[in-house]
Amino acid sequence: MRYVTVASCGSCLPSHVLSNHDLERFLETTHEWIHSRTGINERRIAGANEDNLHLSLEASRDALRGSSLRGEDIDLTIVATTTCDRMVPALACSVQRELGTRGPAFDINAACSGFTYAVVVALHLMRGGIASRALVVGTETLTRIIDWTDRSTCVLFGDGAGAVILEPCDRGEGILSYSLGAWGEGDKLIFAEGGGARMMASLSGNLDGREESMATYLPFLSHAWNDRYPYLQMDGREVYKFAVRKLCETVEDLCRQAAVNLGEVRLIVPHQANYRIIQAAAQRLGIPLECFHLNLDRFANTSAASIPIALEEAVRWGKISPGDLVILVGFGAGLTWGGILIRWTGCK
Amino acid sequence: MDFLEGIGQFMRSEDIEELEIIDGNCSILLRRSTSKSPIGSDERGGACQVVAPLAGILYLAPSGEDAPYSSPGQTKEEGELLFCVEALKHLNEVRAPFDLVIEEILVENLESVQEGQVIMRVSRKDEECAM
Ligand SMILES: CC(C)(COP(=O)(O)OP(=O)(O)OC[C@H]1O[C@@H](n2cnc3c(N)ncnc32)[C@H](O)[C@@H]1OP(=O)(O)O)[C@@H](O)C(=O)NCCC(=O)NCCS
Repeated sequence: MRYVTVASCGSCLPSHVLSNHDLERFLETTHEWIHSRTGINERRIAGANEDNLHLSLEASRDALRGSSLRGEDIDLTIVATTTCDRMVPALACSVQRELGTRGPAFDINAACSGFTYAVVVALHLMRGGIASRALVVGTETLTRIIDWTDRSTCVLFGDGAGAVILEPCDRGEGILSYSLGAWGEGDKLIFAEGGGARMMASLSGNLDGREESMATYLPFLSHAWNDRYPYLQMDGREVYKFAVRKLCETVEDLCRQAAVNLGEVRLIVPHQANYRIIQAAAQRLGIPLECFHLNLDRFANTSAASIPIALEEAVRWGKISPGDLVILVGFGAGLTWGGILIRWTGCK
Repeated sequence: MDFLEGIGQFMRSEDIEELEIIDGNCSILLRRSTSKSPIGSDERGGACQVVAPLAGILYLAPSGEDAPYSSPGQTKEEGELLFCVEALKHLNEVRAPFDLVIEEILVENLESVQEGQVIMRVSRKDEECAM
């Protein structure tokens, strides 16, 4: 049986910083409210030219530099995102074009769990012999799909990208267990209509008196959802409860599958949604908060990008050494959740 | 057979108490009967133990409703399935390395097991473990 490990990490954060105090200038909110409810102090906002492709490429190049590999050494490219730059084609194909990677390239949308889902898909394609080395990216420009007049959502999110390169490793090292799941009943708890096909359908442009015949032969055009609210909507309370429960259950499941005690785990790199979610999970799991790597105070919630961004930082800060057990765990819209337990093998 | 006898001799001469042989998914842990060892107090020598080849979840049966792969007292021919260890959603089969009788199963179904953890105590069908 083949084992697979994280051989290198990279990240890219836009340089523009938006602090809670900046938000006070145009929203009815305060730094104290945001900080005490979420732990967030500031977030990064992608500039006009910093689309997901740009962020993904910078994060991927950072990971490639750390591994001394080149694009052509990679034969699988997967991008996890909920805010793809365009509907077609997959962002992963544009990443492939720019980096010169080979083999299949496609995107995955499992919201904030997307990165863990993408790593597990890559793991199985590698174990099945379909790929030998994979680039997995998590990237988001969430600031483009939130309503900047809705204080209950817009204060929570930020932009960025993270990337990892996966390589084969020795038995018993690298990824030792994983756990993925979804609860579709919760698909109304976080959603955004914008960019979806049913919202795009509309009669516009120069129709030259063809409106009537087009509406007859293309009846869906008159039922388009283009008057719907396009931005992200969320039931914060429900999501909060779900997140705490699933984070704990996933961590416990990962340990059980790999026959590991939670006490042996060196670091948990969670999806960076909210400080209070992590705090409650730490308490429920009976482990100190220091077991979690947190950077949401600086980068807020970057959905599918948050885990690889935090992982890269934890590695760079020397918080993970070869032999350490590390857990990556995400939860989010869907509702989805996903976790991976890794025996670290070393990284840039 | 000769192979195991040779190993037993080697372990005695080198004063090795425990030796694990891994061949693909099969692994045998040979432990010499010494005063320290709680297992294998048999006059003639030691006991054979079958260990988990890797860490994971132990499957003593395909599912809750199915008959178990193995039960104490059962005879297994060489190559017959003893149990599985699930790791990364893959069931790793552990098969009888020789004809044997299952003496005792030491771990509950669906428990987490460590690599090298003793799962069952067995004895050779024709004779005791060669040690
Ligand atoms: C969003 C969240 C911080 C809100 O905290 P909460 O304690 O549930 O707060 P509520 O939504 O009940 O709002 C309480 C009050 O604060 C107000 N409020 C909301 N956002 C505010 C803001 N940015 N500034 C000031 N006041 C705000 C609300 O209008 C409400 O006022 P009201 O009582 O007069 O109606 C919290 O629910 C949460 O973190 N949920 C998880 C969200 C998450 O992480 N999602 C992503 C998962 S991937």
